[in-house]
Amino acid sequence: MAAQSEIELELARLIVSALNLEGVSPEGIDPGAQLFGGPLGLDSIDALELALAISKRYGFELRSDDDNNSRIFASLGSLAHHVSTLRTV
Amino acid sequence: MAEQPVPHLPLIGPGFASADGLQDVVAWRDSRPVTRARLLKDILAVSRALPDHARVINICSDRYLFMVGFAAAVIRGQVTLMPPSRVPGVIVAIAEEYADCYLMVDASTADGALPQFRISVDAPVDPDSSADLPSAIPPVSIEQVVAVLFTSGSTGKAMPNPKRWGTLVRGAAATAQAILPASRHVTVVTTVPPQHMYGFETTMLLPLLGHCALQCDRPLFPEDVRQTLGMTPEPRLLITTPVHLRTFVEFSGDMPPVAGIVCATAPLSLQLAQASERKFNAPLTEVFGSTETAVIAVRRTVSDEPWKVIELFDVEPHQEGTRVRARHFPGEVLLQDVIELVGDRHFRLVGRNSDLINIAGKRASLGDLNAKLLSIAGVRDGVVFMPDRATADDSGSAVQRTAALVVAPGMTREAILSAMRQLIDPAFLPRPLMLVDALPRNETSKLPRAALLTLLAQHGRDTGA
Repeated sequence: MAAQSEIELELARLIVSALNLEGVSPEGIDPGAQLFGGPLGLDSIDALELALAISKRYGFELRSDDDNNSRIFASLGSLAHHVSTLRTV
Repeated sequence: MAEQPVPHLPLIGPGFASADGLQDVVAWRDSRPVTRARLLKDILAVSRALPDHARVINICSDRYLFMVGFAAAVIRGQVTLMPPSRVPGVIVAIAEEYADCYLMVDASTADGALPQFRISVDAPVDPDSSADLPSAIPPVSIEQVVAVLFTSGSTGKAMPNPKRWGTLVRGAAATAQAILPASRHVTVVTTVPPQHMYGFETTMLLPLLGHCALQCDRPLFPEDVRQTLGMTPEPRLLITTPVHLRTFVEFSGDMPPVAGIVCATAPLSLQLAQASERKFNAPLTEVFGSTETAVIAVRRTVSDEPWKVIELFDVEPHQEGTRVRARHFPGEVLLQDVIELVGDRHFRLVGRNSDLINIAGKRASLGDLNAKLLSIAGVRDGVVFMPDRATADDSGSAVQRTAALVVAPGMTREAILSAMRQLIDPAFLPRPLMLVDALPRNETSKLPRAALLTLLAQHGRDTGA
């Protein structure tokens, strides 16, 4: 697994706390691994929860209807990249 | 006895018979209006292209294509099967149960086990001429079984709920009367998928039968909903669930005005109902129903009033649940919900058979989930259950999930979860799933709930969560 960047670790902690992923260590989430349907088993309800947590923490709203959506949510790394581009806080 | 002709009902609403209403807008797709004439043309074209099979599993995610595909199959006398989930194991299990099936898709899928039909419709033409309109669309016998929906049975096997055309049409008309504003033709904007009864009735049948128009976009996040509502002509009705509403009320932006909100699938707290009405400045109608019955009762949640039974139905408390009768049902339906009558036509919901769980509108039985867990090679013992979580206020708490304790020497959590993912919907994947040396079975080999919770809490501490 590749090392996590600072923003990736921050997001990993947000994911674990917002989604109640008991037993999952934020440091152990591979930045390149699939978030949804992957080893974490996240689903669309989690996407909603996560979008809410991200908008509160980083001050911007996620959208699902652009074609980039599956790419943005593909992995911790891609989500971190998206967040660092759009964050206002 | 002399044979009576079986009554028929039109496929897409009463307007068609008189050629009135052909230019009414029935859907908005990619910001363009779709007229009833256009919908008819698409349905007839697709019905001619369908392969010859008795049954079709419609897994289209494009709402318009789902509707066209469903109606086209009805014309061809094909039964649409609606699996409760798209996970491969569920679709395969249904295909094994029903002979002569094909899969209707709107995008390529790797699943190659069944014959596939990829639905498409012609690009819209402006202006849409009605000159070459099909002059007749065959009315459908009220006895024709047009769809089968599935519920999770406690035996572990999906229970089929066949739907006759007459039952669907009459139920939808009653639901339309209960949830749509009386005087105006609304456009429905929705966050719920069409493959379960709530979404199927309110977002597919109502527009198809001419009760309202459908916005075909699929908004998920609050910002999507804001934009989609903004692109949809007024009056608009938002059809959604408590899970979605919670994220909408916490959204910092303003939502465009709606004529009303309709909510179902899970208990809605008074606080969330109030916050939703404030956020959208519109009344919220909560609907009560089931796969077996469709919508049977409604209430305005903010006034904490009892459920009002829709005119077509009669409900009666029973020791095993609730009996529901209606003239358009083939027989009496027994629901697992426990109710208490308030007068003749109202009731309060008291509880539910505890084996059945509902996560974000998806229903499963713990018995079924347990059977599936134990079916995995390498799992020696295990249990899936609902842990208690603070649920005092859904506007603040996360969705409640299942937990599992599993005895599977030599297997990793990931391997077990990966196997379960093939068998059950992601909403029910245990979270957490914990490996243990043994389950705390008592002398009768039952699993006391308190012991399960203790073990779960202990593991939570050990892993630092």
